[in-house]
Amino acid sequence: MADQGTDHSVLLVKGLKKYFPVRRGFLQKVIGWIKAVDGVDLEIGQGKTLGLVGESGCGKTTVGQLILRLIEADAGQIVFRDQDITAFPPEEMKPLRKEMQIIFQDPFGSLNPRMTVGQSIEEGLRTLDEGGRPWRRKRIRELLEMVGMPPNVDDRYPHEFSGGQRQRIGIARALSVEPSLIICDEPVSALDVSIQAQIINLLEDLQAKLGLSYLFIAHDLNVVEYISDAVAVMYLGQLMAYGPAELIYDQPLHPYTRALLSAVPVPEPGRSREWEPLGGDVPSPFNPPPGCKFQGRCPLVEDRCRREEIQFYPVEDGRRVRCWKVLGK
Amino acid sequence: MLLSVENLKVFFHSDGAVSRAVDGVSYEIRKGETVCLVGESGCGKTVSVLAILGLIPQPPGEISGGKIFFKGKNLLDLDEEEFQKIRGKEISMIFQEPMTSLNPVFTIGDQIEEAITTHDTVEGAEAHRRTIELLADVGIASPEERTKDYPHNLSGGQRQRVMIAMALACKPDLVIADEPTTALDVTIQDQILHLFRELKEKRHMALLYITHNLGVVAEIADRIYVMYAGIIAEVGSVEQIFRNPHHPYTMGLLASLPSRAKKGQSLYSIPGAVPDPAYKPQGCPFNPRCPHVQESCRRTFPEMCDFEDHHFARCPIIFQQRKGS
Repeated sequence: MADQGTDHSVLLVKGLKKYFPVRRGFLQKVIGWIKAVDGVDLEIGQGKTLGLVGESGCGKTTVGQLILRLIEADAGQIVFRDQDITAFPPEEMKPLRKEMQIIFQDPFGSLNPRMTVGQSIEEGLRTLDEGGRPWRRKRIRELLEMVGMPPNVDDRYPHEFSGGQRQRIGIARALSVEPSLIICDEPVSALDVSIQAQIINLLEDLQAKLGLSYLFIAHDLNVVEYISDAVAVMYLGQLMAYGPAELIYDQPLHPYTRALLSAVPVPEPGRSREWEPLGGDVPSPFNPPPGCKFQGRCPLVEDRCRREEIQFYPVEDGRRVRCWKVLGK
Repeated sequence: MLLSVENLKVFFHSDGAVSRAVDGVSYEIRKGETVCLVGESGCGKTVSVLAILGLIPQPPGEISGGKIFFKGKNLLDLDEEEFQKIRGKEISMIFQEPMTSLNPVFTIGDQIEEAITTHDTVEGAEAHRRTIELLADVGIASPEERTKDYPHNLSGGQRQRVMIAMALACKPDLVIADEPTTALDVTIQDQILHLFRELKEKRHMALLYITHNLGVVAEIADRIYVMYAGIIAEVGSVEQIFRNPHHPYTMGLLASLPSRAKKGQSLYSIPGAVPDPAYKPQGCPFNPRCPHVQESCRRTFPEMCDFEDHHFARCPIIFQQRKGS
C-alpha cells in the first residue's frame, strides 16, 4: 500500500512523470505535450502483485518502461530496494538489470526468430557474465523445466512453438538472471482462454516458489482481480484509484472504476443489470483539459471538476481515490 | 430457418499437407436470433462464415463437402454474379479490425453510400439521406457532419459504428460479426454490445456473432455453438451451456475463467494446446487434453448426443454417465 512503511517494499515510485513533445512543421517546433504519465505513485511489496489497469493509451505501458529505465522520466522518483535509481548512470544500472526483468505481450514478436530457445534464454546471463558455458547450459535446462517445458528443446527455434509455449520461454528468459521484480506487460492478453489459465498459474507458482514481485499491467479486469494483491486504476496518465484488490473490486468508489467494472462482460447469462454504457471515447492525452481527467465522461461531473486539479485523497480503509465528490471533500 | 449450414467441410492445401479447418460443421439460425460461435483461435469459426459469404480463396482452400442453405437456396450452387446480389444485401459482415476494413482515402459518407447504391437503385440525395439516418441509428453524434470525415478522423469505437452502419445499409436479414469488439477497450466494447442489442430489438435481424470471449457470449447470445478443432463440440441455449455444460471442452473453458475462480486457488487449466489442423488426433480431436478420456475416444469419432431439449454435445462418455445416473 502506498501509505504504509517501506520495510518490505521492493519498489516505490513517487510522482512519476513523462511528457512526450508533439512537434510539427519544418522547424519541428513543439506545439504541445502528450502527458503520458502525469504524477504516478506506486508501491510493490516483497512477493506481492500490483495490478495496473486502464484502457489503451492511459500510459500503463509507459509506467513499466520508466520503472525499468528503458525511457527516462521527466520528474519523480523510482526507489528500488531503498536505493533511488532515478538518476543512476548506465554502469550502475547494469547490476540492477538482474533484479528487474520484463515479460512482453506478444510472444511472437518478443523472441528473436534467428536465435534458438537456448540462446535467447542465455543472452541475459552472457551479457552479465554469469558463470561459464557448461554452467549456463545446465541453467537453461533448469529454467525450461521450471516453466513447464521439456528441457531438451533448447536447440529449437521459436517458430516451432505455440503462443503459450513461447510465453513460457519468455518467462524462462526473464527468470534466468534471478530477478526479484518482474514487469508483466499484458502477458496473457494474446493467448487463448485455455492457455491463459496455464500461464497465470505458472506466474502464481513461480511467485510462491521464488518470492517474486510483479507489476502486472493488463486491460483484462478479471485476470487482474484474480492475480493482484493491490490494484491501481489508471486513466489518461493519472491514477484514479489505488488500493487492496478486494476493496477496489467489491466497493469501487471512483466513478471511472465503477464504469470500468460494470463494462466488463460477465460470463453469467441472465444477470440482471441496468445497462447504461459509459458514453464517449477515451480522450487523447494530447493537451488534456485542466481539472479532472475523467470530466468529459463522468456521470457526476460538476463545475469544480473542470476548474480544480483533483487531489489523490487517502481514504480511511487504506486506499486512495481521485474524486472529491464521492468522498464528500 | 433463415440459414442452415449442413456438414460443411473446408480444407486448405499447403506443402502436401491438408488442414481440415472446418471438418463437418452444422449450425442453424432462425430469423431474429443471435447465435454465437465460440472457440479458440484456429477452431474454424471464421473460416466457416467466410464460406457462407463465398470468400474462401480457392486454391489453396477447398469446400470439400456440405451445404449452406440461406432462405432455402444452397449458396454453394451459386455463381459469382448471383453471390454478389446476396453478399452485402441479404447477408452482410462486420470484421474485427475497423481500421483495415475501411478505405482510408474515401470519406465514410462515400463508403456507406457506395454500400447502398451497389444494391439499390436510388438517387444520390436519397442515398445521402439514408446514410445520415444509418449513422444516427448506430449512435454517431452529428451524423451530417461526420459523413465528410475520413476513417482516420474517427476513434476505434466510432469506426466500428460506421462498419455496423455499412453492414445495415441494405437492411440485411443476416449480419455476421467476426470478433467485432475484440480490438476495442472495455467501455467501448460495452457501448457496441449495447448497440447490437438495441438494433436486434429494433430491426429483428439475425446475428451470427463470432467470439472467443465467454463474457460477451453471455451478454449477447440466444444460442451457442462451441467449436473445437474444426467441429462443433456442443450446442445449446445460453442458459444450458453456462449452467449445465456437457462437453469436457466447454466445462474446461468455463472452469478456466479467472472471474469464476476463488482467489488463492489455482485456476483450472486445460492441459496441452489446440492441435494443428493438419495433424489432428484420431477419434475425438479433444482426446489428448480430455480428463474423461477413454480408450474408445482415441479410436472412434464421437457422435453428437442429444442430452435434453435442443442441448447437444459430442461426447458419448459424458452422455452415458449422465443417463446412467
